[in-house]
Amino acid sequence: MPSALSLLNPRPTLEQLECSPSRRDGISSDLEEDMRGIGCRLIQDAGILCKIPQATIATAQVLFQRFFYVASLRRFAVLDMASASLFLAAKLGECATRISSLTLAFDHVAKRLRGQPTDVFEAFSQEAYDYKTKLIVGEMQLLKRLGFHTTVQLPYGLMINYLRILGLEEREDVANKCWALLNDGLATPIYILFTPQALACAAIDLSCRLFAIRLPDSPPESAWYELFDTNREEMDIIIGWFARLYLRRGNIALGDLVARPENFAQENGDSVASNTLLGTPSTHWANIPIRLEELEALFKRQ
Amino acid sequence: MEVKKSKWDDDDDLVEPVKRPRKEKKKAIVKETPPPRILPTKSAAPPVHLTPDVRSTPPPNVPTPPPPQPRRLVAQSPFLQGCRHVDNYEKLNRIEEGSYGIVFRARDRETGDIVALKKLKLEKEKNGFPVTSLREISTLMMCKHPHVVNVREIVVGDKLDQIFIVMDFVEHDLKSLMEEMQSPFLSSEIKTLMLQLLSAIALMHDHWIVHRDLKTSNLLMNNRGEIKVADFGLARQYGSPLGNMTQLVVTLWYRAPELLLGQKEYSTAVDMWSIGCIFGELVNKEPLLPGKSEIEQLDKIFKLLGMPDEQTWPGFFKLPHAKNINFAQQPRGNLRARFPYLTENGFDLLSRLLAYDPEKRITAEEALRHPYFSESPPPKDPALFPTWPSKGAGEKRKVYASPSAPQAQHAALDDDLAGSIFAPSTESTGFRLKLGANALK
Ligand SMILES: Nc1ncnc2c1ncn2[C@@H]1O[C@H](COP(=O)(O)OP(=O)(O)OP(=O)(O)O)[C@@H](O)[C@H]1O
Ligand SMILES: [Mg+2]
Repeated sequence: MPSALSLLNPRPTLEQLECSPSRRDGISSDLEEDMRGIGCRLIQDAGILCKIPQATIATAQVLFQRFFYVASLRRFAVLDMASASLFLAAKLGECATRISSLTLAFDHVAKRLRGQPTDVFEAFSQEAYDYKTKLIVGEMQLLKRLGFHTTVQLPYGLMINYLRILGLEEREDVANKCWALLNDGLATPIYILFTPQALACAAIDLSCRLFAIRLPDSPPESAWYELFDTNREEMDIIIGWFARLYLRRGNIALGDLVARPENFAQENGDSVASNTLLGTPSTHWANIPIRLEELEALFKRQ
Repeated sequence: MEVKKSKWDDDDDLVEPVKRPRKEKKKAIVKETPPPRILPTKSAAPPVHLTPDVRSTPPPNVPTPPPPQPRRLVAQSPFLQGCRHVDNYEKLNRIEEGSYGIVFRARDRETGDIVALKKLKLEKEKNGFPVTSLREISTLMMCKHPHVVNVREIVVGDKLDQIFIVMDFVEHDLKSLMEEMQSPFLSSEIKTLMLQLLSAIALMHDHWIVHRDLKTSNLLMNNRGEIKVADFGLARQYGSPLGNMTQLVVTLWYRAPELLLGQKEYSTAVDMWSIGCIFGELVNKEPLLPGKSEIEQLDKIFKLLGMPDEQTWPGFFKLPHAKNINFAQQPRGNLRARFPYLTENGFDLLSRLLAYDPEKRITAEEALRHPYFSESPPPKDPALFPTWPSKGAGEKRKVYASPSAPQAQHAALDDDLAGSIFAPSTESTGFRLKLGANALK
């Protein structure tokens, strides 16, 4: 059957979800989650370094995440596919970026994130050449394995719109918090599993609870989020993913806070809640393989 | 620095050639990934179930998200799936070699459906997948509309650089069809076709997509009286503010005056001008402005519509090439005389489509509501259109000379990229206006 094409985000099959190609290749779900996490982090950092707009950086992370529902981390290195995703997303976002800038940026952020010396490789070295080749092949693999389904519908614009409809357009702090949450959430599967509407609602819901802002949600059949095609259950699952993300990143306080926002708002008030939600980098980034050799070495050690 | 061919060769498990024994040998060489060995996991979490990391004692009330189910994604959203192999289709005949792609008629081996396969030309790419082809595919895939040609999927060949767009096969293109017809379309038919075209373009413009190559040969027509907009080879989605886009777009005969005069920022209005030219062509069954060069094109426009001035087109004199125009000659315009049988409303619509000032030019949305479409005769029911033998299906073959889109477009350098390192040292291929001081005499 030819696949249907449309504006909608493509979704994984149940099979792809239950047993991703990497799992079939012997990679544990924990390791897979870490490897996806570091890939997204690399894209985010390199994107900022290359001055690429956030919407494009987000698109790249979604493409990267999608790719590993159809391909294995054992065959395609995190670093290569992260760079290829940003390379492709930049073209799709009409802000195409030079290959050399991208490879340099990724090399730099990878070294920085993993606490290695950030020396720069020679522009015309074999290393630079290999990088470029991998980038171009990676881009083609992305396109081909995603069946050219490169449409990525993002929740940022919806989130701003919903805030306006909810009369919260003045609350810059809330908007910023939503923005930070939506950025952090790129490292989780929520962009693959949920509609942009549900993501926007969950970010607003969580932010408002953190700031102890009550949204109209009674009687239940006219809860505010239903206006935006979202239900409570979806938002709770998404928020659960946030809690899990922060806990995994070793940010216990934050994970706790996200898990129990009501208590938090009562106990701590607005001032703490307005701190950034971005997870702090933890030392364990250094141990996550981003190259195929590193992954195989890890396998040997086990 | 060329990418090593071997890197591009397909060693792919996704792409299964359909029963082609020759290929099997090749597949056997493919290196298998090592057999899976499960790494011991830190927390013995089931595949996608969510267990908080054991590195920390989880706080008591962490809601554990249930296993994710993609249930909320809308039913029609496609599954994540790789490209299939082109061998799923049986090639029947070559339809036409366009300036860039080769188009084949083919049969889906599974369903028997007749399709059109457009092969993308990707050979000379140094910067990965060409951004123009990416735009063609992504805009086409986005524009799901009854009057935009339907893309079924993208398939690949054995090499990574063999890529085909699979579309529904459409029997005719409007250009060859009109050349073969004895008499022009009836006005009821023209209304139907114009409404269809406008509705497709309204959708595109609504999504900030400009087609940039509307012309009769890029409008396909089936035997059920339906137009399908095709060839998104120059299409792109633009952001706001309008970036600096290349002016090397739109086949000369259909090219808006602001492009001819070198305006750097333009928008959907360039498509509306092309639609004006197409409207005129449908009515008179001959191209409206068949210029042979950019200079002659402008000259033909001035003769048809009269000279633009500050009134009809504020800011016109400031356009880059406006100073090269010879104003000694002041043609008055003869649009009405060219369309003696068009009703007042029809003429009004035509003039609005051909408005000099892009700001004043009618939009697709407005044009759809124009009184021309509600006056008698009403648009003809598409089902009542006559049928013609299909040229693409080889039912009748004739070769016509047809102008083509500016070629520089399809090359790697494009738009904002021109001048960056993405642009190789290639020179612009001479499509820019080279107006001398006494041009347009
Ligand atoms: N879906 C289709 N069904 C039938 N014929 C088609 C289809 N798509 C394209 N064709 C035929 O192939 C021709 C070329 O296709 P298209 O315009 O997409 O390619 P192109 O290379 O960009 O052409 P050009 O640059 O000359 O406009 C069309 O004019 C039409 O005759
Ligand atoms: Mg064409």
